[in-house]
Amino acid sequence: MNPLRSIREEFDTQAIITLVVCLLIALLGWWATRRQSKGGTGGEGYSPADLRGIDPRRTALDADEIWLLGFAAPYVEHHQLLHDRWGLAPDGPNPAWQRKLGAVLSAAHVVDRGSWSRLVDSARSELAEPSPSYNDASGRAWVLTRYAWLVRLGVAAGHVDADAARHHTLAAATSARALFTNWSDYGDAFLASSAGSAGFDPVRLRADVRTLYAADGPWSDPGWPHDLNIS
Amino acid sequence: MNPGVALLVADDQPVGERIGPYVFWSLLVLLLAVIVWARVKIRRNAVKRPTTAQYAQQTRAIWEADPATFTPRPEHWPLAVAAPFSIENRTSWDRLDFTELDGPRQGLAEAWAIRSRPQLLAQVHALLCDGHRTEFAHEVEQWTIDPSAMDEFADRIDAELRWRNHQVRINARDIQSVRFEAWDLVRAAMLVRAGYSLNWLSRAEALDTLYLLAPTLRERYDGWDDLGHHFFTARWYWFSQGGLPMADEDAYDAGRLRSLTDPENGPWSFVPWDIQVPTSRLLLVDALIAEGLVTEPSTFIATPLALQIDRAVTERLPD
Repeated sequence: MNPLRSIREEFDTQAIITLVVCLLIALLGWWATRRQSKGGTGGEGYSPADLRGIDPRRTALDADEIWLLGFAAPYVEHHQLLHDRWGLAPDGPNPAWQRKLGAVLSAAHVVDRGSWSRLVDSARSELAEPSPSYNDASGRAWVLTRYAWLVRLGVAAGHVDADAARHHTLAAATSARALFTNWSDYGDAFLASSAGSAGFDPVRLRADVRTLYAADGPWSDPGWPHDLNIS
Repeated sequence: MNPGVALLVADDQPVGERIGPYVFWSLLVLLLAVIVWARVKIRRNAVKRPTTAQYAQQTRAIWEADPATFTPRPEHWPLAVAAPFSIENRTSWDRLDFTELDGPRQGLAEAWAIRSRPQLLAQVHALLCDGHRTEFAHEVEQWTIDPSAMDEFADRIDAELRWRNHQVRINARDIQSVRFEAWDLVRAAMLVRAGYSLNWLSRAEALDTLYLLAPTLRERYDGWDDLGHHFFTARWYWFSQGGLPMADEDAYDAGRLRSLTDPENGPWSFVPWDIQVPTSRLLLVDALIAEGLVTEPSTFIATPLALQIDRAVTERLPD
């Protein structure tokens, strides 16, 4: 005998309602278990501060590319992101990196394209026509570093691609060649201007900048390239 | 006629009753699948969770010396302070360096974003001067005085902050009377050991910085048990999470505390709380200045230890 026919004949709407209720209870139980295993009303608990592993440099880049990427390096190191990627994180989906990057983008108020554009335009204006407080070399290093960082945040957020970011950074960095010839001077100027900046532990910021000069750091070769092969 | 179409257009029964049996069987299969899946998940979680005996084995303190013939020396006092983490790292508590270096190198990089001597010095400096204790003590005090202080921001704060607010409100684990120095300074002791192991600190710098912890800890706590109670409660507060993850952490921490105070093998049973330790010469300050990490006295003094360090900075900075 066909069981479907049998049930169909004796079918009672209450059976479906009962089953739906059972299913809802089961789903509720599953949801509660999942919620409990994630920590009740609390947060996510421990998560690694630095996802880069012991050796953060993985990509072979040419000297000009390393130079351009170096302008945002103090911020990149401060936020423990990837120095060798315009988008600051590994390619491909990676939940831990996405969470970390999402938090950085959100804190920098650049998730929204309009907000990001306003911040970039403001930094670009500051570079083009420095206010008195940013007119000296240290002020220029500070503004340029911030501009380069915003550009890379734009890549990370999907507002601009790596080629455009390279182009924007090159245009700004070229003007800095009149003031600096190596990362040592640039780093010193950046730190001189960063004193008292909100949101930074000055000791940690200096330590992060010092780390950029290490053998595996983006400023390990302190001299800037004499001739650029990119345009 | 297509049977599916026939189901919808044939005979005079309402559509609901005609498709009812199919819905019934689909829901039944789905319900069974959920039940089976839930049982598998529960069983898998049960396998992952260590037993009390496993915790006891995992948290047993490791010794370089023979406990039977051990004679405590001054350096053993700060090493005993760092012992909760030597248990976690499965390394001897009674020697300054770690025997296995991959663990500390990876731990410093991943958990602390420390890859260099300057970053290690900066992080130790931050823990000694401020750490989490200023922020935690402030929020506990604020919420104890005014439990509803955060209510108007309730929809804008993250889950961890909301969880901590709730624990303070109900005074869970007597959090309102916890002193948070242990949380920062025990972690600082662990960082110093790891930094020395990776050659980012000299032996003199490491020991001298460890000795710097003693006056503050002895002033704030009555003995090892008191230090342990405040450290593990502060750790629970920092973890900011209830449910199963915290139950696991609680079991593990209880095991650590038992091991630390074990009369037969626990470091805290072998090192007198009041053993004499040398006075620190604040070699950390010299290192911070030499590395160019401190170039002027601080504009923000959060704790008495920060004041002590800042005075040394002022005295020792070159003119």
